[in-house]
Order: sequence, then structure tokens, then C-alpha cells
Amino acid sequence: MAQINLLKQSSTGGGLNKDISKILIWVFLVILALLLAYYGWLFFESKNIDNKIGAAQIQINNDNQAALAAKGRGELLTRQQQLRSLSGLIASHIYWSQLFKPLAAATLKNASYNSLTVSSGNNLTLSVTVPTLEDVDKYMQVFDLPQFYQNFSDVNIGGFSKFQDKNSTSIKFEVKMQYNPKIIQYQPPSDNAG
Amino acid sequence: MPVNFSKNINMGVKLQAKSSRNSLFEVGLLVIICVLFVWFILLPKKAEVDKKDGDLAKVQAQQADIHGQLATLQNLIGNLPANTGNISNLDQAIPLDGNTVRLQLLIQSIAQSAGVTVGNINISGNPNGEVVGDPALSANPYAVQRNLQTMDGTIYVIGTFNQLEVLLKKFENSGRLIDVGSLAIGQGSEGNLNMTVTFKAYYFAP
Repeated sequence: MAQINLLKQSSTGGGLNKDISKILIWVFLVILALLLAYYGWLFFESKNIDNKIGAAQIQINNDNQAALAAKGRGELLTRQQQLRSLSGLIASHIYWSQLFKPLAAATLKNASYNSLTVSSGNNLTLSVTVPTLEDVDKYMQVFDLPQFYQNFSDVNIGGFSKFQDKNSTSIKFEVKMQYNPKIIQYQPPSDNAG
Repeated sequence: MPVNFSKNINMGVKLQAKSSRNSLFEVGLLVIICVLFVWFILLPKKAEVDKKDGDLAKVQAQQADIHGQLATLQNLIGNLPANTGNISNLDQAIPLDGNTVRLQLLIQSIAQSAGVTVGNINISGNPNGEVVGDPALSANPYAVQRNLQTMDGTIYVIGTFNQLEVLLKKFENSGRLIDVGSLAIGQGSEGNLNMTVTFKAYYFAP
């Protein structure tokens, strides 16, 4: 009887292991099948994406061709370049006439200019006539005042000569100075004019 | 008899153990197959699909961008006829040809309107640039590559200070963009001043 009991126990344990193994086999077979199905989906998804990329590239090419063939494109590009060039030039456009007002403000009442030469590099050369040597001194002193040296600086005076007119004697000399380039840049008209 | 019976039992257990080992081996084999499949086939494929997905997103973004640019281009081209006034001003500021005669006429007209006496006007353009008579250019003026080019000129005038100032202001505010490079004012005869102005005008030609 004891042997029979032993046989029963042994037989039952082996069957259980076998069942678990079978279940495990089925489980892994199902997992493998799912993995294969997922691979299949990935395969078709990859093809699908390839098709979409191809279609998008065809659309890009079509759009590029349409852009290149667009009637009026040449004129538009020319106008854009023209406008861009004009914007750059206007930004650096200078107004020499704006130099006269601050120069007149910095000039002694009894001084007169015989010649004026301005050029790029902010150089200004003047030939000035004043009645006396004291006036030359006064003329120079003006450029030590802040409201004037912010517009005109590095003033050099030389080439003095004395000449006699019909009725009077005058001193003639040459002035070289640097002007502030902001003077000749565009200044929008002030609102309080008028 | 019990001995034989016992032998039979031993044989059954061995068979069952063998079958169980086979099953375990099959499970192990399946696990290995699954792992190898995932590692060597599925994950690389997934990475490939992910990369393609990223590429697709980039291409679609590029497509949308180009499509938008095309729409903008067509819209701008469509707006050109409605802006003939602005285009005319643009052509006045920087013409599409290097016609020096037209600039000379303009300078003369400006000087006359300022009231000064013109002593001399000299204008030099691009000596190699064609001005008129290019059939291909006339047929399709926008098909060629154009560059910003300059004409240099000098004008010598005589007038009062006010007239010279007016002339300068007219130069500065002219519809044709004229940049004054330098100016020299000196004493002339009969209380007048003389002024020499060097200037630069621009054109946009091939």
C-alpha cells in the first residue's frame, strides 16, 4: 500500500510540472506570435512612412517647380533686391545742408567765410576773415564751449595773413576741424515747427 | 511481484522526468528565441521605424514651409500690380538702367529750379554697361541678375548762399537717390559764391 501511495504522489507531481511547462510553452508561443505580429506592423509602418516621405518629397519638388515657374517671380526678386539696396543706402544717406546751421551758430558775428570744403572723413576746412587779431582769439574760444565742441572738435588754425581792403584791414586764416557726423545724418522734422 | 511492480514505477518516473525536462528545454528555447528575436530583429526594426518617423516629420515640416513660401510668393506676385506707385518711386530712386543722360537732365533740372547758374556737369557711369539696345534684356528685363552700381558726377554752380543751400537740399531730398560726397564753396564774382559738389547716384543694372 505504501508503494502505491508513493507512486500516486510521484505521478501527480510530474503531471503538474508538465502542465506548467505546457502553459509556459503556450504563453511564450503567444508572446512570440505577438512579437511577430508587432514586427509585421513595424514592417508595414516602415513601408507606409517611406510612401509618405516619397509623397512629401514629390510635393516639395512640385512646389519648388511651381515657385521657379511662377510668372512675375523675376520681377518680384528684382524689386526685393532693389528695395533692400535702397533701404541700406537711405540708412547711410547724408544731409550736408544740415551742417550750415550749427556752423553758423558757432561762428563769431563779425567773422565771414571765404571758402568752405567738406568731405567724407568728417573733415571741414574753412577760410575765415575777421577784422582784428582779437576776433581770431574770440573765434577760437567758442570751440571750447561744450555746446559747440560737441559738433566741431579738433580745431586747427593756421595760415594767417593780413590784408587791406579799400576801407579796412582784415585778418584771414584757415581753420581745419572735425565735425560730428551726427549733424549730417537724417533728422526727422520737429513737430513744433510752425 | 512487488519487485517488478516497483521496477515499472521507476520506469514511469524516468519517462515523466524526461518529458518534463523536454518541456523545460522547449520553454527555455522559446525564451531564447523570443529574446534573440527582440534583440536582433524587432529592436533594430523599431529603431529604423522611429528614425523614419523623425525623417517624415522633418520632410513634412519642410513641405509645409515650402508650401507656405510658395503661397507667400504667389501672394506677393499678386500684390505687384496694386503697388505700381511704389514701384515707380523705387525705379525713380534706383533705376534699372545706367542711363547717364537721364541723370544729367535731372541734375540740370534741379539746378535750374534752385536758381543757380550751372557752370559744368560731369557724370560718368559704367563704361562697359549697356544702356539700351539689348534685345534679350528688353524682352525680359527681370530674367537677368542685377547689381547695385554707381554713377559718379561733379557739378560746378554759381549762386548766392541761399541758392546753394536750396540746391543741396534738393539733391538730398531728390526722388532719385543722390549722395553728395564732398562740397567746396568759394567766393565768386559779383557777391556770388561758387560751389563744386561731387555726388554719387545709383542704378540697378546687369
